Amino acid sequence: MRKKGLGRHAPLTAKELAEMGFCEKRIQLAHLYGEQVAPEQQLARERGQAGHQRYFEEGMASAQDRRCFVATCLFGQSSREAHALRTYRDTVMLHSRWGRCAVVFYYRIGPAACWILDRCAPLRRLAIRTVADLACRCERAVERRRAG
Amino acid sequence: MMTLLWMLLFGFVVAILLAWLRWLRLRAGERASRPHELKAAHPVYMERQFRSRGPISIVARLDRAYRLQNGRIVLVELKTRAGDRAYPSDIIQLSAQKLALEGEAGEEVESYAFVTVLRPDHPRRWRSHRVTLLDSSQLQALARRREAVLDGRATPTYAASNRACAGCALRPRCDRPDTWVDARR
Repeated sequence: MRKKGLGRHAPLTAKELAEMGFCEKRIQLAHLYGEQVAPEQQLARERGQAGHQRYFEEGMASAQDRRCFVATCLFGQSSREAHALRTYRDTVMLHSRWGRCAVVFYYRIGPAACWILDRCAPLRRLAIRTVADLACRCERAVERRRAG
Repeated sequence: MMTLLWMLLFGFVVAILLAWLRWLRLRAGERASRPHELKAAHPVYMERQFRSRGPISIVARLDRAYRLQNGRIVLVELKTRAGDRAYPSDIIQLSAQKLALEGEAGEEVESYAFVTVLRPDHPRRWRSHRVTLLDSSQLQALARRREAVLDGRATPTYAASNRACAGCALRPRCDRPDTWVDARR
């Protein structure tokens, strides 16, 4: 039998704990006989997943720091790549007129590019390699600028 | 050859324009779905998982978290359902999210949160309900009770209404009588 909670190895999920506010008997029965889902519940779950996907996309579109959108989407917000690109933007690009124009253009297309990359695995793999390489170059450029 | 290049370029520009319009629409959607109290806040975490390793080990995936101007975090949970209200299970889920977020990221999370309800018949109309969260000791007590129920040391309670049982796949195995009325109602 599956056991979770205090003093157990597997952590308890928020959803599992939340079920305590709905029906304790259901938790016990699911524990004894396994989780069972009615067709209506399955339908509601699918509807919920679609709603959450939309909610997530809307949240991403409105997130305050869109400036390293693609790097954040590929490597995570606190990744080395995202940090390198942000630093390059702040120390190099924003100091020239063309650089500022490029940044503004990127603000516009970044979320859309991320949306496409989320849905196209081959393009995402290619983008990961390209952006990782670009981040390395940017990191070296920033180091050279600081040294010189 | 040149015509093909121009067509490709035109297609690229149109694709960018459409993607940009979509992004604008999404951003407007986020603004519309925000609870009124969070108009000046900005979203910081979306669909992120956090894990707390305190007195209870909890994993929680939060739908959205906003940072207020004072630096504190307010949690928002999206629910797609017909009932336009917050349920006790929503409060427990948000409280567990608070515990996990505080435990892993060290953020200061407000003791209130919002349950945003999206009704299936109105897919673009959000209603937000402010709820007060449980504290850590209440969550611990709840986790202990859950364990007692699973181990058979405590008698489980039933859902608060007969209606809640209607869609339950485990109803045939349940010993709750059809006419049963919970004292909590």
